[in-house]
Amino acid sequence: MARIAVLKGGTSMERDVSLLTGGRVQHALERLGHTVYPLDIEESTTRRLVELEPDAAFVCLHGIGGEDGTVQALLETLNIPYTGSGPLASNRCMDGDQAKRVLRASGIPTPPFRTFWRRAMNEMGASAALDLAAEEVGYPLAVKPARQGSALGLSRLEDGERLLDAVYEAFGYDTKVLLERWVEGQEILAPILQPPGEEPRVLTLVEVRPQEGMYNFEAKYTPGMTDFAIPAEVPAAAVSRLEEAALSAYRALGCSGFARVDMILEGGTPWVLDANTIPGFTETSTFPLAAEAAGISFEELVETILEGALRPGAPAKL
Amino acid sequence: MREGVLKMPVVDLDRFDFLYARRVRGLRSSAARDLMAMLSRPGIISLAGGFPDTSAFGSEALKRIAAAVADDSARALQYGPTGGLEEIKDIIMDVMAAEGTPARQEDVFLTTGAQQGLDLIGRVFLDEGDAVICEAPTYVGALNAFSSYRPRILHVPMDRHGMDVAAAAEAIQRARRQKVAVKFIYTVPNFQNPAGVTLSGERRRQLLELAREHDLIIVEDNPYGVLRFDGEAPPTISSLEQASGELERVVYLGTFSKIFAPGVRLGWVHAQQGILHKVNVGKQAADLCSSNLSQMLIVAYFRSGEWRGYIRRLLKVYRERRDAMLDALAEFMPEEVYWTHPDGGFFVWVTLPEYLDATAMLPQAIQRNIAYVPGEGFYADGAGKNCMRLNFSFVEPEKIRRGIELLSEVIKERMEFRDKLERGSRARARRKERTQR
Repeated sequence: MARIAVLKGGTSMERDVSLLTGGRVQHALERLGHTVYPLDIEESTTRRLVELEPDAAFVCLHGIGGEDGTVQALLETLNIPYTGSGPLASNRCMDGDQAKRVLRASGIPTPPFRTFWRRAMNEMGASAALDLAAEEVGYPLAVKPARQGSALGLSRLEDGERLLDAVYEAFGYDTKVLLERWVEGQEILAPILQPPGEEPRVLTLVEVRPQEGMYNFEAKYTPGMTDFAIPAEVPAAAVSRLEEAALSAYRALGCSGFARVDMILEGGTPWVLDANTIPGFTETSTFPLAAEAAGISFEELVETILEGALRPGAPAKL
Repeated sequence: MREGVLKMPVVDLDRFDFLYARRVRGLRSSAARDLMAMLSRPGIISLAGGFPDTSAFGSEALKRIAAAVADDSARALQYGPTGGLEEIKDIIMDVMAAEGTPARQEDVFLTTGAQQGLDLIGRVFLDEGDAVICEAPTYVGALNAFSSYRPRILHVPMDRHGMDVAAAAEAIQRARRQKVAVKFIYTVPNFQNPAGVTLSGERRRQLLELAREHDLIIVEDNPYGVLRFDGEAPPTISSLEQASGELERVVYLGTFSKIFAPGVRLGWVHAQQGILHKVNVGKQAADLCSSNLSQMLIVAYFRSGEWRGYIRRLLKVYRERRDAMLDALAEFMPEEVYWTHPDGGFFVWVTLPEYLDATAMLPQAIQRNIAYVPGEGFYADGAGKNCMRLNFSFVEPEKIRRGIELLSEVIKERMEFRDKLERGSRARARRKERTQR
């Protein structure tokens, strides 16, 4: 049995969810017979990892610092194998701008978008191009911080009236902001698992539905205001298109081990919105629920992901 | 204070959503709370708290009073009467006298913190859909306590003299026209949390008149009353009512949290017998009685009269901190920013330019190691986005000064950035106009 450091907490805005994910993974690893060292991220984390010399680290961090390649690069430096994607893939997936560029260049449908940097606003008068960008993207559109993890700073605009205010607000949360066309349709999540030495596969498609009577936008960003359908209720023809788009996105972005690809099915088009390299693993998170629906218990899921980290001679992660 | 920024134990909020009662199903961690998760960062100067400084009390003093309580251990460890021990009611009469309010022992009712008083008042008076008149902004703990009973919160604007009574009258009339039952007016008259504003003597009289005219209750929440650094205290609304007749419609809430320590969790309701009878029923269901141990600690300490000296010490500490904050604000803040000048209490309320969202600014502030509470949480209707609450009671003067300096830098950057954005988009609009011509 292995000695595993479970990394959780941190100071990102998703600290709470991370602690829940970490706690649940920790218990599963214990039940599997591993020796577990839960570590909250703090100044002594590196020293602790050096002292512990764990066989692997199970990364249960969400958001900036944990899901963006920071901790992954550190673990590589310390020669500690870890779960999930490598630093570059993590960084890309955290950053909507980078991810969408990779998707677009790979021919995977992703809604049209434009990017603005704070520096360009400050030094190059870039807000003169806001209207232009909005017209090209088309309304309704979303204004959002590029490296988002929650709904903070996100606005949906029907027209240009509040454009400046929305952009200004989004820049409160990041130095880079996206204008992205708002695509209407069924919201589909594709939890992907890649057992060591095998090809990645979609566990089960999940459909997210706003609770009855709730306006879509509000529901989507209020926890508990959404219901899930597992498997998603979509035409059989759409299932393969969705799965194909999700797997192409997973490969194009260079993910490893597991990830969740979020899409909107509009007409017949599976628009890929983004990919999460460390989706939540709480009791009500979609990823473990989808695994269960695919006949994989939480322990099996955790063990499979861990094996990916422990496997000797595995190819280097992106 | 009754709320604060602590690391909360984490529970899965959604697991039993299908079983939760409707009244709590909607209760969610706010965006601001998600941001507060980042406050665990080391080295941060937090003006976001609201704690009294309990370090000033000292362990020797606590040992002394604990020893006195231990002499009567059987009683200290036993259940007590629902409304509290007789001796502590005598102490409360002394404290209320110091706050300028005459009190009779039988009109005093012990609660587990004034926060429980708020909950019990909500339980006693509010049906779903009833209206409560509150200041804008108002104490967030009151909003939380009342929200279990699902009332409508009617916010009434404040100026430097406190709640605008004419606006309160209009709000009541509007509600009546819509067939909404207004049940009570809730006010924190002294050094209000969060605004730091004090309701003037004249307005207190008007508010009492208004309540009489519409036959409403006034809930006078006075946790900070004796923490006055400057000027004369206006009479409490309860004392005004008692001076002009019988104790009738003013429900007065007091607490030991600010004058002694929040750790004892003791407060009180002072009200007429009919109301106390209902409150008593509610308290029996809630927790049977407040802790005897806590009550006896208070009695042991307050009997000696030392508390007056302790409060003088606290006042000195808090006044110095308030001054440090007001001086630093005057020195560092850009001229478009306004703030209140509290004569006591714990808080200063800062108003930023209209377009500046204090919630959206918080990540940048935290990055610079300074934290505050964004204003929108103090409103039930999403207002107050361009406001923030700053606490001075819990932070040393040098840190306050440094904190305000950092905060003003963040605000200036945000303002300059807005300016850049607007200039750019104006240039674009001009160009468009030219091409159209």
